Amino acid sequence: MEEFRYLPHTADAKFQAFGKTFAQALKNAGRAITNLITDVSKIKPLVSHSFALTTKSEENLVVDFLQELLFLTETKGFLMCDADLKIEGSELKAKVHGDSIKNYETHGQVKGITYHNLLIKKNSGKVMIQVVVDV
Amino acid sequence: MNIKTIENAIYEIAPEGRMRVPLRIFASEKLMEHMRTDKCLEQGMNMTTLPGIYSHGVMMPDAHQGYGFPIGGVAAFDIDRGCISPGGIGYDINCSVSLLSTNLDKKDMKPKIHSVLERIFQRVPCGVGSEGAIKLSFDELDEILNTGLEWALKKGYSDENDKQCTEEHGCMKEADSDKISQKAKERGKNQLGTLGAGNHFLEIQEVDEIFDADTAEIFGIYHTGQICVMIHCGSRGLGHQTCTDYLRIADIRFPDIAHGLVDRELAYLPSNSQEAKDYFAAMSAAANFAFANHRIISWNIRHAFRDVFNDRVELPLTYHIAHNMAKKEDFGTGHEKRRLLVHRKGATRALAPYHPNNPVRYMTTGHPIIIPGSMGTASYVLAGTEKAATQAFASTPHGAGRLMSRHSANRQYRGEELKSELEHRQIYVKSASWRGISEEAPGAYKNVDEVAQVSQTAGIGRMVARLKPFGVIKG
Repeated sequence: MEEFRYLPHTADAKFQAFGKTFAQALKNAGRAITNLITDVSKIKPLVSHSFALTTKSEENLVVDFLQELLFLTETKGFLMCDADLKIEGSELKAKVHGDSIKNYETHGQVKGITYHNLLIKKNSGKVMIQVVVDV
Repeated sequence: MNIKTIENAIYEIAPEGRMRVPLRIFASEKLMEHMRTDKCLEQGMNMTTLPGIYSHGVMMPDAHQGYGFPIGGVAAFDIDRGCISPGGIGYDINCSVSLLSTNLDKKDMKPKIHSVLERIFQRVPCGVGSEGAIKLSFDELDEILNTGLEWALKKGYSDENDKQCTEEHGCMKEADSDKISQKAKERGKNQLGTLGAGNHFLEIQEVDEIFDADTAEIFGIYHTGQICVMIHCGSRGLGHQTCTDYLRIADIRFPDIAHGLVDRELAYLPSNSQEAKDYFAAMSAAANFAFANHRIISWNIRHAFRDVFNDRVELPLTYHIAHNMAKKEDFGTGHEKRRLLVHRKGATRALAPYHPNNPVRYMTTGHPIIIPGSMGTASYVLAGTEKAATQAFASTPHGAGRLMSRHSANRQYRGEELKSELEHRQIYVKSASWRGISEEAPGAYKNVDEVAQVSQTAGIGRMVARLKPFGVIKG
């Protein structure tokens, strides 16, 4: 299954991330964000960070999870390539794996995660999350 | 949508559906064609559905699709019965442009351009995740958030001329650092003095053409070939987080509003709510961070030039102007006078001559308006007009506006080839990454000459000078 793909958007970056489950699609959305900064396939899972989030909706969960990755990039220089995600009701427990940004050549930045065109679609055996980010 | 031509370079869409007021669009036929290729016109119409919007919504010649508000969108709201919309200001609060003039000529610069670019590249961190050389405590960060340029002045990074030639004198007075979240402060704490990436840049430019010599002289632009320096950046991670925080507050505190919106990114806070006051105070604080950031970067640029030339080189600030901001401004006179909250997202304030908020130095001309082009194309300096005040809430375009997505630009252009092509034209680029160049290819942007010309034709700006790039630094 394709992990993620980018779609045209004039000023920002738009992508769709896929997975068999919501958690897998969310992980791939994280990878799609990292891939806007550097080639995610080159990142080694050498460092881990854990966090928990509680939100009132799945849309907010998507935005909060991706925003937390952005926060880790800017404050700890962390780039995510993999994640163990446990979602129970409105709570997410995350352990994300990746490496320091210093070890990679970067080609872009993500300024913020938007709600614009935010979509979560679930068909049997496939989940799609669509996000537009400010770059 | 029913688009009517009002006069040369001015179109209008009358209210339809949930629009409360008309949408006025400043554009040439060609720029209108570009606007029809993405969703910006629809976004402009959506913008006019917000409560308390006054008179009409505005779209600038360089408008293009953003999220919620179009980039290049201007909307003014009743101070008491309107709203404030964080997405109508943008994630990069006070993304702004500074223009420094110099006493150098191109012939002085030519043999030393690479040395100067190298020195600036060493002094001004750019690129993703870059950290500044200035390490701040949280207390010091709070002082910057509350006082902006005043902090830089106190520390010796700035001077009195910088203050006079900065919008709001570099300090939004209603700022309150307590309204900025801890997360935003953690993001911004180590980023003071950094450029960032994306479309942020530093440019060494030469004056290419002067259209109005008298005004140009007042602006510190004296002759063609004169070297200037342009800085384009904003409030970095701190501003971005602040926008995110208040969009979430809008969502949580006013769920009924959120559900009733034509586009969720138009989330707003009602003017008379505490949350709206808090956001304005937070936005002002983030703006102050950007004002201070520009002055640190200018200080480093001045030192880089002095390292290469000598202490006699001067780089006074011509002006520092914002293009993602909301301001409380007065319009009209006598009984018609009213205070409005003007949202400018990817648009620039443009005060007419004799407006009292102009610096004394620029009272007879109106303050300089700076329209940066894309890498490899021109930038423009304009002056404000009365017509901009009456028809566009004292606003002009902020840049050339994107035509092509970053994704498409990366597929069409290669950074190494572009760099080489630009060097062939004697434009030298230093970038933190190749993709930083290809995404910013000139072909990915609208024609800045057209944007400036249309501003003049529509009467919302008066062309003063054209600058062209000589050296570019990109994140």
